[in-house]
Formats: sequence, structure tokens, C-alpha cells
Amino acid sequence: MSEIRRMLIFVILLMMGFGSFLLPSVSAHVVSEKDWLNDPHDHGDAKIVYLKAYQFGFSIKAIQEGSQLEVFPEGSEPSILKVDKGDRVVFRIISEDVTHGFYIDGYSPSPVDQKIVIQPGKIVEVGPITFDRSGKFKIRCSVTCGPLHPFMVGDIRVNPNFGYYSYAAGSLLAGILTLAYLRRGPVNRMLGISLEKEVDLLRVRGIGPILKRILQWRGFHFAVIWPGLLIFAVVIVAGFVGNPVGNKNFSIAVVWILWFALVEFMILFAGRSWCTVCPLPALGEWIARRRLYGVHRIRKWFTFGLKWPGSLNNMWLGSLLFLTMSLIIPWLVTRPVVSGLLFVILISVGTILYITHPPRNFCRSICPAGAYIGHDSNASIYSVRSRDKGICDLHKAKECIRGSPEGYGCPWRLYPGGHDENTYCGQCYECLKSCPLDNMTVKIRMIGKDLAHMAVKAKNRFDEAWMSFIRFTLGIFYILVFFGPYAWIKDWGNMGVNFGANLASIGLLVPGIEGVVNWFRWAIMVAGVSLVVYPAIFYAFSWISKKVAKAEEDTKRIFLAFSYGLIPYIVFIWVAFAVAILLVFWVYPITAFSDPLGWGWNLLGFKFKWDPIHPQSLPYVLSSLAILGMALSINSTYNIAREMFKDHSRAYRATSVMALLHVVSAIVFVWVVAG
Amino acid sequence: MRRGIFWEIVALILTIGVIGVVAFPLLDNYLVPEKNERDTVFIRAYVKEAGGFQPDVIRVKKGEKVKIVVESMDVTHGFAVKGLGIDLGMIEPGEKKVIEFVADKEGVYVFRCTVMCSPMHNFMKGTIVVIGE
Ligand code: SF4
Ligand SMILES: [Cu+2]
Ligand SMILES: [Cu+2]
Repeated sequence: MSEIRRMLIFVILLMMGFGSFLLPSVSAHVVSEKDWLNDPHDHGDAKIVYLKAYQFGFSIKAIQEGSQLEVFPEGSEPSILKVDKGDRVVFRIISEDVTHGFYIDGYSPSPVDQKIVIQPGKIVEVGPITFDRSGKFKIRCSVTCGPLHPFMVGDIRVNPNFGYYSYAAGSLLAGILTLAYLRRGPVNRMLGISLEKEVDLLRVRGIGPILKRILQWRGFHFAVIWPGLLIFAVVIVAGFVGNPVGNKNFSIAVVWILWFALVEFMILFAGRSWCTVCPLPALGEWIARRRLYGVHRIRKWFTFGLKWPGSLNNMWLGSLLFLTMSLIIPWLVTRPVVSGLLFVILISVGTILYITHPPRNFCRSICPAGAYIGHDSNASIYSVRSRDKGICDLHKAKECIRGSPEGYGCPWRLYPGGHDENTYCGQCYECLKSCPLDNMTVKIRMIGKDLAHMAVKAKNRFDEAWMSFIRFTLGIFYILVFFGPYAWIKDWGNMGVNFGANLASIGLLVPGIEGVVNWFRWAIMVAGVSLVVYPAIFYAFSWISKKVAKAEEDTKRIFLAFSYGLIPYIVFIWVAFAVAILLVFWVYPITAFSDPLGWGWNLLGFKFKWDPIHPQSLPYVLSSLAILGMALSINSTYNIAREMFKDHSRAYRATSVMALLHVVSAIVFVWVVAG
Repeated sequence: MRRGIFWEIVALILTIGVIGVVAFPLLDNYLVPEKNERDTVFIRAYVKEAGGFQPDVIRVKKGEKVKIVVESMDVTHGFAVKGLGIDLGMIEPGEKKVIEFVADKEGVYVFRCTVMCSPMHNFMKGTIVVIGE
């Protein structure tokens, strides 16, 4: 009996499976255009905006004023809504594909109180909303609708956009004021603060001795790496088996929101502190040392001990890998499995290279994060330095290089006592432990102290110059792409794939031909702007500044030197990006700790709903940060020029030319976020 | 020296402990079908391209009380069983909806997603099989 029943069920299931293939594909849910564009209600003097939501953007199909209906032709529907202050607007919204949400920065109630859901097949009316404050406001999707959901935005510009005009004018004014300040020829100063002053953090009353004990404690490194190891282990597991949608998955939420943003702040306030904590090369280091905690048999590594090729002793590989990651960034930051794979690769390569080529050559030359963190942290206020270089010069034993029973010799192959740039100092604090004369310390100084002498030394450092260009252009470009209304750019980078993926569903990521073609367009755009266009402009400005300053140095040298002046600018632009990401997406990482795999767990007993913090003020916060970076950058350029030309008036003239470029960049930035 | 070795071992144990933390969710992943043996059935909804309803065949005994928990994993889905008069409405990602019922007639009931969720939405369905003694 039961046998027959089972057979029956099997046959029924089979028929159902078959039948489903005979069904026509999706059509039942689409609202007809006629229904949509025929609004039966009377909204008085309000404008009616016919908005469609789709993966991953919003665009305007038509605008109706009174009885006048302006329909935009297919393919040229705008994604920026321009209204005048005081306008009343009714949104009539449909979804073209899946369920979306609707939220306007500063104008609609918090999505926690009242979530507006746009289901396919239904027309949702929102409003009338009176736009009584001018400025730029974003429309955001408030329902998770796929991998790029967090970046599904549209723009509303309420004219006259005074905020934009005043910040654009503010950039110019800040540039002029900085130049006016530099006119007096301040030597070795940064916006009024002396670059000679340094605070020896470990001798500060109160916290100094405590900090010193912590940093000299042998277990310190392990104690900070271990939590990182735990977190990255969870990242990999979550990336492979967790929820395929990025913002529900620990690997995405913690790495690309929390980690990314924290690193930007660390760069500014604590240099390469990430590399202190980083677990990626730790396994290799522990294996090579045969110790996790103590110091063991110095100079006899448990390794192959191969020599690192000199041609790789620079930032080329790291910066090009950083650019490569940028080319797949729309996937990297939204697909858990892609992040999981990336970290598996980084950990494996880091571990293997530590064993074949000790010590931290992976970190010095390959790690893409290490490359940008190291480069940018030259604008940090934080540095690990010797107290008195004179003592180091006289001290022949050089334990900071060779190691001592208290600490290893510098694993980053530096001479800690003598170095004066942050680029390759991974802040492992071994030198603080190994130095028998207590001559190593942590110094806090003003932003940009080392830039001038680094720049003047940089005779052929094209690698670091291009790292600057890549970082600078991509910082602005990403804000435009990820927080901008242009869905087509996102779609190009995303190869038109609308699915998230973990290991089991990785097959969904196979793009179509058109997607691949579009990705090449995206890649050419990203690489072209960062590797060619901006460097070419920068070179042109360097050439003009050489002419204007009547300098004898050749343009190449000036060009390379001035590229270091960009570093404070870069740091502030990325800090601005980090602020935007944290204020809008803060819920994702917090929730991810409670539910790391996105399986509906609630380990810590809390879960939050998506609710951006004061997003309407983001344009101004971001612009202010960029303008501050610009001023620092102009001043750095002056310090570099002064060191190079040894002459105020030439340095000043050269700086004025570069200042023009920096001001224009700031105005572009302000346009991107507020215009 | 002794003390040094002690801390090495502590550190080693901690490091190996990380593997345990990692293994836990993996185990749980494979334990989910086990859980379904009891009277509560957990269904995870993914877009059809990523697997649809998991599991998509549920066996229940006639006359027994069943509790179904449906959770949406990626985008907004729905859940309805026409033959049993069940409709849970929209289920947003991260949200769980629960239904309890007693199936008193033998047969095969089809459950479907009721929210347009992907190009293959129409194929997103599964079956509840009510078996008699
Ligand atoms: S360079 Fe890279 S791998 Fe090395 S410590 Fe820094 S982030 Fe980690
Ligand atoms: Cu959406
Ligand atoms: Cu569906």
C-alpha cells in the first residue's frame, strides 16, 4: 500500500516539475504602464513623480504637473529628481523586479517606524512631501533586495542648492586662505602647528608607563592577534556557508563596513595599527618562529630562509593588487564567497611566504591592504621612532635589527632606530622590547611630518606615486559609484549579476556575455582614471609649476615629489567615505555579531533594524573633511617644495599651481557628495 | 623558561580553539535536517536560482500538529499553501514567520512563494506530503 502511495507521490511530483517548465515566464506581476501613469486622484498643486525601483537603482519615468505629463523615453529616464524649494511632490512608485523599499534622507520617517515597501505588481503612493529644505537628499532602498541593495540609491536635488554652492566656494576660500598663510613662508609647519614638536607617548604622565608596559609585554602581540584570528575565521566560514546576501553576512558586514572604516580611522590616528593586529601572516610567523609567545633562537628560522628578490622590494605588486581588487570591488564587497576566497588566498600566501621567504616580505610587498595602509599612514599622527638617533648610531650591537632575548630583530627588515617614515613599519613593537637602551618609543606628531624628506628622497619611486594616484582617484570615484545615483556604473562593475552567493551557490555568479563586456568597460574606466588620466593631469600641473617656479629640477622629480603631498588628502577623503559607510550601515556589522551567518540566530540578544544616522547632513560632513584634507595637502606640497628648492618664493609659486589642482579636486568632491 | 612554555601552550590551545568556533556553525549547517525530524519544520527560503525553499519536501503525519517556521534568507519572499488555506504574507529577509496547523486529510499540498522574488519566482515551490498511518 505504502509503496503504491509513494509511487503516486513521485509521479505527481514529477508532473509538477515538468508542468512548471511549460508555464510562461514571469509576467503576472507587472503593472501596466497605463494604470501606473493614470493617477485617479487629485493631488492639487503637487507634482507627481512616477518612479520605478529596480535592481539596483531608481529612475523617473514621468513627471506630472497639473494635467501636463512629461514622459521620459525608455533608456533616458533620469535618476536625479530636481525640485524647487517648497515644491510638494507625490511619488507614485512601482517595482520592476523584486520587492524594494523607499526612504528619503531627512524627509521620510525612520524606516524602523514606518517602512515603505514597494512590491512588484502594486503601485505605492507616497506623499505629498513638501521639500522645504534645500540641498541634496538621497532616496534609498530600505528592503534587502539583493547583493547591491545597500547601494541602491537615487538623488533628489532641492534647488537652490545653497549647501553645494557654499561648500564649493568654501573649497576655493580654504585654498586661498592656505596660500595666504603659506605666503609668510612658515618653515616646517603644518597649518600653524610645528612639525618639529613631537610627544613621546610613552613618557606622558599617567598613561605613558601603562602603555609602555603593555607594549613591552611579550604576550601583547599574541593577545591582539588572537581576536583578529577568531574574527577572520568566522569571516571565512560565513563567507562560505553563510547567507548569500552580503549585508546579512558577517564576512561582508564586518570586513567591508566595520574593518574598512576602522582602518581608515586607524591610519589617521594610529598609523599601521591594523598590521599590529592582523592575523593574515600570523600563522606563518608562529610556524617560522616555533613560538606563539616567546622569543626563540634568533636568526635561525624554521624556514627555507630564501632571499626576497630585490626587484620586489617596493610597492608595485601591492598597489597593483589593490587596483585589481578595486576592479572586482562590486563583487568583493557584496558576495560573501568572494570575500571568503580572498581571505583564504591571503592567509595561505602569507603563511607560505613567511616560511619560504621570512620574515614579513608578504606584508612589505604583496598584501594589497598593507600597501595602502603603509602608504597612507605617512600622514598619520602616530609613529614608532627612536628617541634619539644619536644613541642608535653609537650603539653598535643593534639589537633592534639582530634581536635579543627580549624581542625579535625587526621582522619588517628595517633599522628601527634610524627609520623616519611609516611606510614599512608594521608596528609590531619588537624593537620596543629588544632595545636594551630603552631608546624606542611611540611618538605623536602633526600630520605630514615625514612627507617632505620622503618626497625629496624619492628619485625613482614611481610605485609610491602611483599608489597615491590610485588611492586618491578611487576614493572619490567610489563615493560617486556606491553612493551616487548612476545605476548603470554599478551594473557594469557588477557584471549584471543580481544574485548573492556563498560556496554552495557560487554558480550563480557566472555572468552573461554582456555582463563581461560591461565589466571590461568598467575596468577600463577605473584603471584609466587612476593610472592614466589623473596622473597625466598631475604631471601637467607639475610641469607648469616647474615653469612658474623657474626651477632647475626636472619635471619628473617634481612630479614624484609632489605626489607625496597628496597623502593627507587621500587619508581625509577615505575617512569621509568611512564616515558615510558607518552612519548609513552601522546596523549591519552590529547585527552580524549577533547573527554571523545570517541564519536568524540571535547570539548576543540584540538585532537592529536598518536606520541611517542623520544621513541628510552627510554631504556637509564629507565635504568638510575633504576640504580639511585639501588644506593639509597644499601645505604639505609647500613643505616638499621648500625642502626641494630650498627657497621660499619658488616653493610658493610651485605650490600655488598645485593648489589650483587640489582646489579643483575638492570642488569635484563637493559636487559628488552635495551637488 | 618553564613559564614561557606554559604560555606557549596556552596560546596554542587558544589558537586551536579557533577551529572549534569555526566548526560549530558548519556542524549546525548539517544538523538542520535533523531538527526537522521533530514536530517543528524549519524552511529557509532562497531565490529559486539559489535553491528555492530548503527543504522543499516536507512529510507530516495525518492528524498530527505541525509547526512550520519560514525564514527568508536573501530577498523578500512569501509562503502560502493553497490546499490548506495557509498564507503567511510577505516575509522580509531576516524575518521568521510561524504557522501551526493540523493536517487532517492525506494528500500532497503545494506551497509557493507569493512574492515576486527573481526571474524564476514562478518555480519557487515545494510540497507538503500528508501521510496516513
Ligand atoms: S601588511 Fe597585510 S598581511 Fe601584513 S600585517 Fe598588514 S594587513 Fe596584515
Ligand atoms: Cu532595493
Ligand atoms: Cu518568490
